[in-house]
Amino acid sequence: MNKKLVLTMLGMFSMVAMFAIACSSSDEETAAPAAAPAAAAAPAEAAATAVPGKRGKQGVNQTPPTPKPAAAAPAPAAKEVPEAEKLTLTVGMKSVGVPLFRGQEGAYPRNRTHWTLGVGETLTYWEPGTETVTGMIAETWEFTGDMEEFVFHIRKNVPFHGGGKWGNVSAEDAVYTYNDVGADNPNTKHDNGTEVSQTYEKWVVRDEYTAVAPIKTIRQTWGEWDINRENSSANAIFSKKVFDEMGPEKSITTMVGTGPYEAEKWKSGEEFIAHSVPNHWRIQPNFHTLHAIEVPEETTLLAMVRNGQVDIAEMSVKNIGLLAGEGFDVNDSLGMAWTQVIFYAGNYWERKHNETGEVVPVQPGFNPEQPWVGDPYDYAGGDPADQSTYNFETESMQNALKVRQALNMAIDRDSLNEVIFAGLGKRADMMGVPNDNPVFKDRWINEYNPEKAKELLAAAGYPDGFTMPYFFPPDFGLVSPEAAEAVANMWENIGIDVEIERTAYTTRRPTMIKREINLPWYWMSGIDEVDYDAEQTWLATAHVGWQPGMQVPGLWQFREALHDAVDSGDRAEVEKIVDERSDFLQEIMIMSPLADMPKLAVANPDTVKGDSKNWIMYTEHSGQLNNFETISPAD
Amino acid sequence: MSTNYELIADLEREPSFLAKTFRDLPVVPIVILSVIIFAAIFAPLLSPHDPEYASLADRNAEPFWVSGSTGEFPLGADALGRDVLSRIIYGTRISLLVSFVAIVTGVAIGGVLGMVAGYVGSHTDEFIMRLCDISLAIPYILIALVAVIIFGQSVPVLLAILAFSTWSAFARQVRAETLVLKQLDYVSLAKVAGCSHFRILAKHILPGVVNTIVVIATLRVGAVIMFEAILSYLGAGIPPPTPSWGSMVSDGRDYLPTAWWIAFFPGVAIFLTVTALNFMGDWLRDKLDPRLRQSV
Amino acid sequence: MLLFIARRGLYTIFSLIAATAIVFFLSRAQGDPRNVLITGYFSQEIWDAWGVEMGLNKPLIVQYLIWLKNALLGDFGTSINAARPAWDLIQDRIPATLQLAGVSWALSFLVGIPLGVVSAVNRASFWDYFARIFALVGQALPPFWLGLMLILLFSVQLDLLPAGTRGGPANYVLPCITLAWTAASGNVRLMRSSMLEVLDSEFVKLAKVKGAAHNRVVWKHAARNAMIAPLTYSGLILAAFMAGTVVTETVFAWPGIGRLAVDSVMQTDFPVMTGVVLVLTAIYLLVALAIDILYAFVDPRIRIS
Repeated sequence: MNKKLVLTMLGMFSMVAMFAIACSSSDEETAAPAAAPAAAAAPAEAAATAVPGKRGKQGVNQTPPTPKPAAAAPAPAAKEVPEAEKLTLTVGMKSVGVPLFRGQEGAYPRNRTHWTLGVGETLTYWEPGTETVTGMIAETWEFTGDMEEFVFHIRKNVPFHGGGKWGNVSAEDAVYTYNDVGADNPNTKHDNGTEVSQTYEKWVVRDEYTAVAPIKTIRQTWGEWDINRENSSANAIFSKKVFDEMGPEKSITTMVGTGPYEAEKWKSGEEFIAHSVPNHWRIQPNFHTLHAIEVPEETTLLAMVRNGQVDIAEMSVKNIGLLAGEGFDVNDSLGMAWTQVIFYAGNYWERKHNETGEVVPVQPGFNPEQPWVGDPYDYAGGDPADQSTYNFETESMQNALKVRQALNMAIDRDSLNEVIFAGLGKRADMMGVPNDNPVFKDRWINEYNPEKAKELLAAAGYPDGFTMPYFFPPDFGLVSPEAAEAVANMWENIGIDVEIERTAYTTRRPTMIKREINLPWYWMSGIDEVDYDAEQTWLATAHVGWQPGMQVPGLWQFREALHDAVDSGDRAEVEKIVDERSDFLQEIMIMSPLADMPKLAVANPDTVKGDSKNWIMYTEHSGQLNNFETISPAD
Repeated sequence: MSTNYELIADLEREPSFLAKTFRDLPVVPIVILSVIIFAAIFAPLLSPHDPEYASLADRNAEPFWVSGSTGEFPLGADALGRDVLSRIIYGTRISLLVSFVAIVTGVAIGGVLGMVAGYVGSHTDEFIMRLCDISLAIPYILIALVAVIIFGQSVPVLLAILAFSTWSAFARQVRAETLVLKQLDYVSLAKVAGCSHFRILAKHILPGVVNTIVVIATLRVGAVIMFEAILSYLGAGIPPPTPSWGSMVSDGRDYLPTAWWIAFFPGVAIFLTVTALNFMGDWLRDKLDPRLRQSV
Repeated sequence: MLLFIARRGLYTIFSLIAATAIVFFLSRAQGDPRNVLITGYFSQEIWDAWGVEMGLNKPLIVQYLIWLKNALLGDFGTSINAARPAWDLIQDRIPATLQLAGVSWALSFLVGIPLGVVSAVNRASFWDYFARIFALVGQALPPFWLGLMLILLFSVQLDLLPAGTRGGPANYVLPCITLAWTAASGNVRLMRSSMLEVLDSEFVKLAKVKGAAHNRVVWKHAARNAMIAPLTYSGLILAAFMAGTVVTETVFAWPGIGRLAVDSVMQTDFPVMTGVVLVLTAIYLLVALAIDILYAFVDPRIRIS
């Protein structure tokens, strides 16, 4: 019947039309194509040898370190690269992040993507290899007066992306960026808003290239500032002009930075495309186009590596061996590896703030009924509101300690390292002191003894075990869900009924901040290369012991003592304090370090020189591949 | 003229009821389903290993026919050294438990609503049918994921989700059946005799819809098992370390190039189970209620 | 006819409300929505400010209605993860899903219908058995497993096809096979049983008696009549199809809204989540509506019921 035929055709046609419309409408993020930048390259400067300054009482000495200028400038007046030679670097990642070009939006870990992808630059950075603070957007910096101000001298002639439309970086931009990040901004999501606001008052422009940060709190940890997240990767300098012109919301996705790569297209969940900035002030990338593709499935990514669809890819330990065997380069430079560790959260023992001395209330997550949580105030003279009555020897505390010791003893660390990490990690027994560090003492090695663990449980009053919740984020940075699950199994083997909670990290995070978290949870923390002979890195471990879910009186003293020892320059004293701290940690058994595991990447040796010697990545807390601007193509 | 004896002889040439019923019995599916039920009941006896016992030394052990295998794990071991075969066997329990509870709840909710809709008619009918239609439009997977994120990943939450995913199929068909039954003479007679509505529903309508319910139930079990597998694959199903076929595939997906058996065999298990169930459902439908032939 | 469309329109609206309301109220059931905004620094003032900004002091129903009103105007709120309007994120990804789903849907018809016809017409032939096995397998294979196995075989082992992400025609092959197979199976089965009934009908027997060439009878009359059955149940098939999209996009890293939905749920990005639910429901309803209108034209009996 003709009518039916017509209508059927109509139906088909409308479906095809829908399809065609969908195909042709594609809203993509495109930045305006960049014209040749006007700024000339900075003249090449001899690299001055950096002198790490000795830290004074507050960690800063009157002779601040000689600011190290940027690396040698690129070849002057680079000629236009002919089309045929424009190389593209394709990188496969589990996530390409989202475009966030405004300070306040820097929620972790997305606040670092513009930096790792090479489109944003910070005031200073921690240069791998030399282990010194090096100037990036800030050329030099100093303290004034009696530690009243931190003054930054902004590098001149650093153009923003956009073909000159947004001008060069000036002090205004640095001031705007930091003030936007700060927690004084009620809308800030930035992870370092706290630190910025606690450390500094609002930043001020003194003149075109001088930004002044009035100091609010003199921090004990100026040394840590060097490698503090504030500057190393999380606070790229953004353009105030963009903010003024595009408004508070549109500026977020206006892709304007200062880095060697200028973003052309950035679609979260899909891909990131950038082209190199000619005559960049800092470095000239060898690859003209950087193309990052998001591929969450590892099997898909592996196939793409094999058939050449990507030059470089993130790859987990599971398949690294296979690819290495097929001739691909393995890159493990994204270490300083992070220590995989289990925290026995819920032990909120402090009742007095360690810095201010104010009374700290009983935290919402504190529940001494839980077998791994002890109550130090649960005895005849104990007063939960008075920290001076803190008593580690109460029955509750001792039983909980036995439980934690049992949990710790049930973990077979060697097996974890050999099997799950394929021998590519390092066993870790003590937070803050890697096992191969000269300062490490053998007495800190954890015994593996499931039988004894069961006895401990019985002695603590749990001969038949107990039910225990357990959390690990399945989707976070360097955390290995497999190792986490393996540990759960090890605990099951000593009679504990483990209830695994596999929620996304972002869902759990509020409980950490609100001090509600109270279960054993698997995380990563600390660094695996601590050179106790180089001052900077000592202080990186000074915060050991503070983690969400625990508040232990006494740990803070070690931090202060360590600073004092550093100031006095007494290496033996430093080691003594680290010893004491580590012994203390072993005694209270509040956490179980497991292994140091680096993030790994594979590279195709036919197209790039991506091995660990030729491509050195920055330490990156969130585990994102970075430093693409330094990669060279294969010969 | 046929005598009584000849009539009887004629009748005897007809195959008996039993013979007719089992004439085209789907043997293979029944065998498969029996094996699965048997495995679920006797799992501890049949499994060569403890399904939750992890031994890192045996990580990714190969199945017995692959070179380099110790033969200790017939179908290989997973990333934590757990025996794949044992986990598949214990996985039958999850699949059966989950589908049974979901179907029973779905029958309870959907069957009752369907009967009420068909029997009472008019606005109640409209309303219930609208609910059915609306439930079809809702992207169920997403609701399930949200529910799991919110209420946590646990067996009760999963059962609730699965139960809600099946009720509308029952409601629809039971209502259609009720509409037909409502017209029958003996129902009208019951009404005239003063039977309460409840009694009518229970004694007269319900027996009539049982066939429909059984057919739909068998057809839907496969869908429920599949849905649970999908949820487990996305990380929202049965929480670890309990073995569920869907989560086993998910666990194995990063190992496809190196240890394909981890993801392969659970998938085969899902496939065989659902196939067998679909076959049974078709066969039952043909036997009990051919009118339903046009349904999927 | 107009009444029919009006009633369907009403159904559409109610479905949208129901779907989004469920997600909205569930997400509020979890607890305070401000929880996901907490960073290392927050105070009571910021907490209260957020509360006012998000209108949390109003009754829950009112909050939902406000959300709904905004949503219908295109404002789904701001994505928590991406700091952009949720609608922007969704809009970016819709084309990818429509392309994948469109091609797969078309494929499922182009393969399913003829296969069903051939199977019914040539009973007990190779095509009959092939079609029946095809349908059987398609309905029992877990879609995520099928996708992974296809990747394993064609990308990892044989290196013939790309393993995922969006791209040229080659990138469509594996995802579309995965997505279309189940729907095609439903079409095959329905078409086949429907054809069998039609071929048995008096009408067709009469046409044969009248001497019409065998093929003409089959294809022109029977097929067209038999097509009603797949259309009847296309609603069910479509619902399963939308679910399949979510899974397929996840396996093949296809940047569509299905994957966006899963990601946003895992990251508790509620504005995006609720928005995606609305969009997916809307897509389903639009297509279902189109099919129903088509169906109503084709079979006047439906209009009356």
